Amino acid sequence: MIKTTGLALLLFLCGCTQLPSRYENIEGNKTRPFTVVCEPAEAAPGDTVTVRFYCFFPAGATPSIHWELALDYGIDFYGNEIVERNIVDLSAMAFDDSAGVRFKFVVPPNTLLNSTQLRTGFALSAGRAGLPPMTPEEADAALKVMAASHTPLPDSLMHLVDQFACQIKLRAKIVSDITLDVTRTLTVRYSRSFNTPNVNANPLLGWMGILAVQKKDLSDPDSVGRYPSTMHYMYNAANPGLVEDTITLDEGWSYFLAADSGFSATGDTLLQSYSYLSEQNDIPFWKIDREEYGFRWYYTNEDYNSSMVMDSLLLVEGQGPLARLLTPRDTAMHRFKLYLVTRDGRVNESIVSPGSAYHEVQGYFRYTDAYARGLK
Amino acid sequence: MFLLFPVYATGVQTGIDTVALDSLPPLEKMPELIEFIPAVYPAEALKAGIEGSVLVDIFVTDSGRVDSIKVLKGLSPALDSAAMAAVQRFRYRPAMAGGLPVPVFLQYEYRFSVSDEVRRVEEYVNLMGTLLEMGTRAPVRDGVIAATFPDTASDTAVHVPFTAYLQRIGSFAGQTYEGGGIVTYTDSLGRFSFKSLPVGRVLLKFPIAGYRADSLSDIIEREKQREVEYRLERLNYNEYEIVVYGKMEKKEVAKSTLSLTEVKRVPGFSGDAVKVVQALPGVARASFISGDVIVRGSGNEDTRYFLDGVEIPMLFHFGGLRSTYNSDALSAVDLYPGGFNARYGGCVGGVVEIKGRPAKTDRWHGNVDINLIDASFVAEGPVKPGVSLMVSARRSYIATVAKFVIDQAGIYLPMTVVPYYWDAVARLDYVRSNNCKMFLTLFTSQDRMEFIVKQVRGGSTEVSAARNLLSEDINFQQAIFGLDQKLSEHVSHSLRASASRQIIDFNVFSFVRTQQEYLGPYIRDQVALTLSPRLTLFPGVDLQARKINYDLHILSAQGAKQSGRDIWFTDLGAYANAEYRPWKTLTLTPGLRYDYYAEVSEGLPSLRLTTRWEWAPGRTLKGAAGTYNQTPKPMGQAIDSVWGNPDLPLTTGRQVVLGHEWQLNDLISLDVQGYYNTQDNIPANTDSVNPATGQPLNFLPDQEGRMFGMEIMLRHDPGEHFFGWISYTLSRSERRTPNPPGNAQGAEGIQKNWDPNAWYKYEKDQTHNLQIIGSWRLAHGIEPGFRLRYVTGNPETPRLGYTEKKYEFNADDGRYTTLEGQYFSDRMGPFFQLDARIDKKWVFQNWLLSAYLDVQNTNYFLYNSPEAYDYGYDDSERQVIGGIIIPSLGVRAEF
Repeated sequence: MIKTTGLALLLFLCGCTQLPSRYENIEGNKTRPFTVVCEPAEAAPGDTVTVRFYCFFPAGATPSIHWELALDYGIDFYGNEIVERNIVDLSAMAFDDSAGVRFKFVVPPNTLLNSTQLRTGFALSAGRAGLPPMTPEEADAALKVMAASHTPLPDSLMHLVDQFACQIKLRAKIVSDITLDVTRTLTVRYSRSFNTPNVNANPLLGWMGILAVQKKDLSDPDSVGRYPSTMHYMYNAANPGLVEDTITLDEGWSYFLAADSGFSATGDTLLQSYSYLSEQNDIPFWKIDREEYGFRWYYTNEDYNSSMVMDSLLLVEGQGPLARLLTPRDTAMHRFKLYLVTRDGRVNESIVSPGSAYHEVQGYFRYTDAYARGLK
Repeated sequence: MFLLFPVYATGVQTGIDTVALDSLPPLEKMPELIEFIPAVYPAEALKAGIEGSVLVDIFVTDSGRVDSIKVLKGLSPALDSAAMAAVQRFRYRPAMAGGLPVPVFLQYEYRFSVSDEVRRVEEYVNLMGTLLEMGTRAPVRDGVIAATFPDTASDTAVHVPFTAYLQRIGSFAGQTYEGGGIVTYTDSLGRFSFKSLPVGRVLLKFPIAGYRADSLSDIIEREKQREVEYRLERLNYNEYEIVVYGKMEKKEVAKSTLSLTEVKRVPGFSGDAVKVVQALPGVARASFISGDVIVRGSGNEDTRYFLDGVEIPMLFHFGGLRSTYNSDALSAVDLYPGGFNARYGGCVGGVVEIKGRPAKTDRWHGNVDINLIDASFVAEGPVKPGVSLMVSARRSYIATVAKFVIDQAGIYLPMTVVPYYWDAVARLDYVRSNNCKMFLTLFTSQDRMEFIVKQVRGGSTEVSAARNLLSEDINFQQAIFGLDQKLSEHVSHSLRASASRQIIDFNVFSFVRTQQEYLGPYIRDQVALTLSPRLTLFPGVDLQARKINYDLHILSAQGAKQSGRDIWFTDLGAYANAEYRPWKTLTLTPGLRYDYYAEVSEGLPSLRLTTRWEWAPGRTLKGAAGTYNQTPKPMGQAIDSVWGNPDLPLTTGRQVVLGHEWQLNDLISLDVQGYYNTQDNIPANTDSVNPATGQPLNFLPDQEGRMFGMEIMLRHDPGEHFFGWISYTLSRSERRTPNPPGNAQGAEGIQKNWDPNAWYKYEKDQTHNLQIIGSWRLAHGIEPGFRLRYVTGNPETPRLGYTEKKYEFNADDGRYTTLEGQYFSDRMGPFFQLDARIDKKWVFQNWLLSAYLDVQNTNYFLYNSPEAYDYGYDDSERQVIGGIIIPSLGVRAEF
């Protein structure tokens, strides 16, 4: 009661008049895109890229999706888009299925030379990196030849390959229950051709599930380790036998959505390392950093109907590898779906578009008598 | 007086030496009184005021004795007896006849006089003391004290009629007899004295204007001097000297001066005097708890803030929560929304000048103010003759209060919050003579805020290792020396010299981190030369130099960028104003100013003219026109080599003001003004690239501005029971730029439809701004007040997700991209706000206690005015983020 009053007071003081619909809630009557996964996560000129588009469409929807590709795309320091042009219609590409959610395209070999952003920034980047002055045409020609001949890359040019980069932008124009564009950038550089350490790969998610913690009303994910807990895997790549689809909710416990953060219990990690150009007192030098995973949780309450009160919905707090699950307040709710999009991010190599992975699981809630009594 | 009537002997035998009449020689010498014995005035007769003469016939022997007495004409038996008893003891030099003393008969008139008795009343002080103001203990100067005496018989020593006694003591120096009592006055220190008051109970009354009619009784004891101290309750406790709006001599066209007394009670500002300028005409409604002073449609960096003539590093804590200079230490707040003369430069908008005040000198004073946000104290008083000191300090405890509330509510917040601010002022005043005064102000302030959000992994470690930290630390120290001297009858001189240091350090989740240090002097030196009764010149210099050392780390859209500079920013100004009065009702003030800015290696002159013409008593026409300039804004960023354009020129402006003032009566005035301002060379965002370096230019000086409008101020000065004003501004503020501003550049729709020749609304364009403020003074120290605001909603660029259900999802980060429609083609809902405030004051003998409740946005439940819109994740729906209800409850004790 005190908490409810406090929350009401907080909302009141914040001037909020209504609660907007939540990002995490897939409501069933509205198209909701999750992510676009490109394989590979970055491409070299001439590479074939497989695009998978993950999206929730309402039942009965017949979406029309039209894909385009901007070969010249760029933003300024302030994040303002300064160019999106040289549009290529991807309608002619061979789609793998009728919904148009999976297709392939080939990155044009001259993509880097068509990039406005690369032209304005390359000379500076190269200079700061201590590389000999050269034009984009010279760099592109040299790298193209070396890649075609499988010539090993000299160490002195390793950074040039990673710096000589641009982004292209995919755009899906969707007409369904709503009008929606979905965009996705893709990094183009020769790094894959030479397999440099900086080549980005899509995240690998080892597992996801629900963590039960024996502590009532525990909110702080950082405190989870202080209490006894039980992990209920709903997806486990290494041990599929550990997967369970029924979660029993009990009184006196707290529940968290949990996913592989990329680190193992021993501290090992699958997170990629990359080098980037840093500087201190205007002196540039190379540093190593590690990418990070970002998590986007979504849910669907498949038994929800309008007779259930709002807080009978599954609610999620947070968007980390541990996100608190606010369990149902109505024991008539059993079937649910969880969707998880994992993205890697390189804050110090902004030219690299995030890699992405998508997982979807279904589950079933069961309730102990104590839990049911607690609701009353 | 005694009268002697010698009468020849009639031959009547007197009994001792009987002589035949026919044998008597002629009388050669009359008997001469050589020893007068006064009669004892019978008390009853004296008290009854009975006076007159007793005529007696006496026989004086040849030895000079009075041998027999006979009353010829009496007054009363008692007076007759008293007269006879006295005369009986008279001694005469005997009458002479034939060379020998002879006995004679005489008639003698003995006179009893009350006034003679009264004249004998002695003058001595038997009641003295001091009359002070209750609560403040300030002396009541020139106050009337009337003493009356309910028991006229209580003093048995008063043997004369009581009224005659009072009339007599009423003639003593320093007191008068009026209306049956004795009246005296206090001196400049509140001291008074009464002389020879009759013993017994005395009733004292204090019929002094401005004070509660009060009376008290005291006891006067015989042969004792009583020293007392009386306290009198003032009808209105005005904390400080009132600068009355509309009464002072005006030289400016568009200057608003607020008295501290009134502004501290204006609802909605929690007693903060400086913030009240936001309630004046010409000032746009600032964002929620923002301290921006946006005058006449200019940018929020186009207005400068001064303290006693020199620029103050920071006017408000936390961007607007509370002014950094304690309002209790101020004497006045001046707002120049435009058209100001050449005294000020370096800005194309307006000027706010706050003025400190010297400490009180009668005694040591203090006050303590405690409210939900902060606590403060002020102590002030004389140090030695001519020298006074004031110190004040304030510290907030927002975090403590917030944590307590959150803990009590059992709310889990995924962050640690540690915000606080503090400030302190010490001002030393030295009055060397009436012609030479000086002061030294030491002023310091710090804002510190830390939000540690546990689960946030912010930007880059290249920016800061503390990626879950939102922090801000701003502190400054400033010393100001002031000297005002009158060098001769025609020359006066005013100097302000300041040195300040400001440190700014903040980190926004490792997306932006900066460390900046501002260090430098400020000198303003002005001379007033009275060349003739009609012409006074005000030449002066206005010199500011700041060495700015900054280190900026930003995680830009193209990766972490580092930039830093060590650069002098200056505004080296020289000016001269000439105040010319060709005749008494007309004042012309032409001015010339030149400002040089080292950071852009450019200087510009400014020409200004202000005029005032009182064409009829209480009716004044006024006008101003001038040119203005300032360094490119945002200051620092605009000319930064990485984030700005080092080649930007100065921004220039022109202002024209016309107005009319009408003093309707002693309290009510009406001021109407119209203005038209323009600005050029305003830095605007651009995606252009410098062809020489290949680097982004970021800013180009290709934006223009135009602002025009009308302002009305109907004002009721603080009267006995009410003060308030109605302020209305009708305005328009527009910009014209070849490129869409800021983040609108990336919006495809805006870029395509952008007309570089069209005028677009400015972000703070508010067509109507109406404010009604009223405060009443009721009995029992209760003062309720209200503030009502109606302001047109700010321009808003529509989001297509909300208006047209068009969405864009960015699969790179999982967020929806905001699609914008026509730039500022919509407006937020109108802003309506009703604030209420009630003050209650309790007056004790030695101190005052007041409590106040100031509630902002009481209309919340009826209408939640949009401060902003909180759009859902895809912009398909939105909710109003309104002004929240802010109750401010505080108590204040003054000693």
